Amino acid sequence: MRISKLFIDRQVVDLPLTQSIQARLDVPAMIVQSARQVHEMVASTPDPVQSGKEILYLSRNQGAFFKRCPGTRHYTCCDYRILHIGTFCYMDCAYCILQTYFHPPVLEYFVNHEDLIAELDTVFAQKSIFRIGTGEFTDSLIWTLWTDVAKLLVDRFAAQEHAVLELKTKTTAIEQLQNLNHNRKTVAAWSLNTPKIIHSEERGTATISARIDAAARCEKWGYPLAFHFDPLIIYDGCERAYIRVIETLFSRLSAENMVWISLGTLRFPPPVKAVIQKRFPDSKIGYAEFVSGSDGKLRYFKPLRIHLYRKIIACIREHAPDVIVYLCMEDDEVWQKTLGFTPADVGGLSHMLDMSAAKHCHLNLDAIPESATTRTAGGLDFTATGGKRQGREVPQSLRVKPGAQHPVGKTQSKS
Amino acid sequence: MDSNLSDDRKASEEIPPDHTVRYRTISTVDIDTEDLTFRITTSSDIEDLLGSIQKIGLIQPPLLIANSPGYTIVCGFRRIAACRKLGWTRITARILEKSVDRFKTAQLSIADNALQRSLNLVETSRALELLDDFGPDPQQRREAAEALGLPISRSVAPTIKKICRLPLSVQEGILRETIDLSMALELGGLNPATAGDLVRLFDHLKVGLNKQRELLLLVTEIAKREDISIQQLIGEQPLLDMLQKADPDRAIQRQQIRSLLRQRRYPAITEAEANYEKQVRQLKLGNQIQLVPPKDFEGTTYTLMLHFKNRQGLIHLNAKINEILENPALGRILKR
Repeated sequence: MRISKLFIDRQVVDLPLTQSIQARLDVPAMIVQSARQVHEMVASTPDPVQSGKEILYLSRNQGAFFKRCPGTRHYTCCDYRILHIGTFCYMDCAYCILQTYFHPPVLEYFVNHEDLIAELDTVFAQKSIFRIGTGEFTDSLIWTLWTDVAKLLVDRFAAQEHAVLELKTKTTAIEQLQNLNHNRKTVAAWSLNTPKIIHSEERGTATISARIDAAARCEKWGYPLAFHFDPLIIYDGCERAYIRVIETLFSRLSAENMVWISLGTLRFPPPVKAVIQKRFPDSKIGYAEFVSGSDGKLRYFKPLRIHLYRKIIACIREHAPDVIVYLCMEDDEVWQKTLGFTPADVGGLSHMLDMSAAKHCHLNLDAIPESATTRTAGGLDFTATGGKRQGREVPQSLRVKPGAQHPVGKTQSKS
Repeated sequence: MDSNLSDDRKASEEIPPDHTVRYRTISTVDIDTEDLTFRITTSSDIEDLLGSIQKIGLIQPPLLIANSPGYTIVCGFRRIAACRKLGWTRITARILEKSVDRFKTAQLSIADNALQRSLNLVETSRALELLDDFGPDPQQRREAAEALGLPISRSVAPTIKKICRLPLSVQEGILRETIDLSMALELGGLNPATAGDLVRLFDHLKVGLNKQRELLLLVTEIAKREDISIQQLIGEQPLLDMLQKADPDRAIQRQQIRSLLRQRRYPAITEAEANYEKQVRQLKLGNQIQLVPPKDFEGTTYTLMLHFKNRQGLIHLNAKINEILENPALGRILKR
């Protein structure tokens, strides 16, 4: 990480958080009249994507902090909510869609935290189950180098019982999470990949062993964990390599403490391909068998996705039959052929994940009718009776019925 | 009036009045034919000139600039080559003094070519590059280009200038009209030998721009993915065999090469397409029914298209659809 210059929007110059970040960063600072000034400066450089990673722009979030995740109607979305604390990242992943999502992308942090807190309070007041993450438009933990944002959010979420915060990262920047009274309302989550992909496509990120070490420390501190094998990247030997990562994961961490594991194969809007070719000339990830998905993104040919998912799910099931595994942005056909059921069979993906969050994070389920929480599908029992009702802890289920054989297991044994 | 003589006068009028041009008879060995600084023409063919010079003589003497110890050619590269081939040891030439400004010399060279004929793309590029090399500032270069009838648009001129820096094989491809400007610039990003091989491939297959683009994308991506060079790929069997086939049917050859490359670039997709076609053939749909799979097999919705003219025709197709429903091949298609 090499932040070489700080840009401060004139609107936020006097905010205490601005001054605190400025003191911690100790780099030349410049006050700007508007975002345009920063964007023009970044856009005029030979590699705006790289330049956007080397400056930090402190500004006021003019829009909402709390947003829906931008899924598409063509594939099953998990109804995730985003807490928009900032944009972009100083790490440099070849496949990152943020390279073309913002024009130009700039490492930007919103310092009007009083508005953020007010919005969060409104969300909590709804007393509905929400899964909220800060890691969609940025990495959740990079900001802990200059701010106390993790502490702020963990404390806030700990004081309520309907929503969970997911801090998703590729770093090991977990120091701020230690000694917090998190009340299990924060899920520490890592994006995982194989050593080869991390080395060649995820510049500046932590190694796989470092990520798992960090997760182990968080588990020791009592945090529920989650993992995202996303993007899964197909290359010669990838199946064996992913299986090795999964084996390491379960050798170090407790499956019972994992709220969910998501899987998603590589996909990106077509313009990202040209950016990869230009910024990562040695990368081969853009030359796989892609088709144009129903959402317009390039994604692997469906049978290739299904094949890889099956291998990985079978391996996860072998180590952790009870852990909730879901697919990110896939259709019913892929769900059925890999997990053995569709989201509709379990009341919807959102419901399935809400129930897992309720179980692991002890959420209050009063707002959800009990009739909506009994599901079985694909040999798995999704009866969601974890969490609390009217202040009482209720029995935890969400597990494979005794004797049930998962269809993926059947598929594997056939092949 | 003799048109060449008239052009000669016109060209002479372009010589700035503050510089004199002298007619001199000089030895051809004193002319530096290796120095191509002012060469605009892309033609090296001198056959047409040999006969005329032999019969009539050198009507329009070449323009040279003194450059001790000899002379540099400004205009008349082909004429001098023809005279040398005819064994002439001395010719009459117009000689510019050594002190003549190089920017003005460049304009004379361009005028000599541009005022007699339309310049092709490579020549236009060389002319613009020449002005860039010697023009003292952008404004003067732009004015000179405009006066000489060269493109000055900011969106076009910079692109055209790049042409003369492209590998020679690519420039030749443009001149033969095998490739257009956009393809030439794409090929310019490759190493010269590879670009040359691709121009030859396109020339051999007689493919248009869209197919060229498709082939270029296929070979580039295969080469990058497999860590081999494009030249190595093109030189491999069975592609090489296909290209070397004597008296080939170009249409078939184009199709075979495209299929071969596509199969290598997209093995799983092409295999699925082939399997699908195989199953569809077993359905024996005839020419009144079409079964269209989801695009790239990504979605799950198939489309059945029926072509009929009357009620009887539809009844016939209805019976046919019932047969299709009973055919196990349909199950295999839908099961995927």
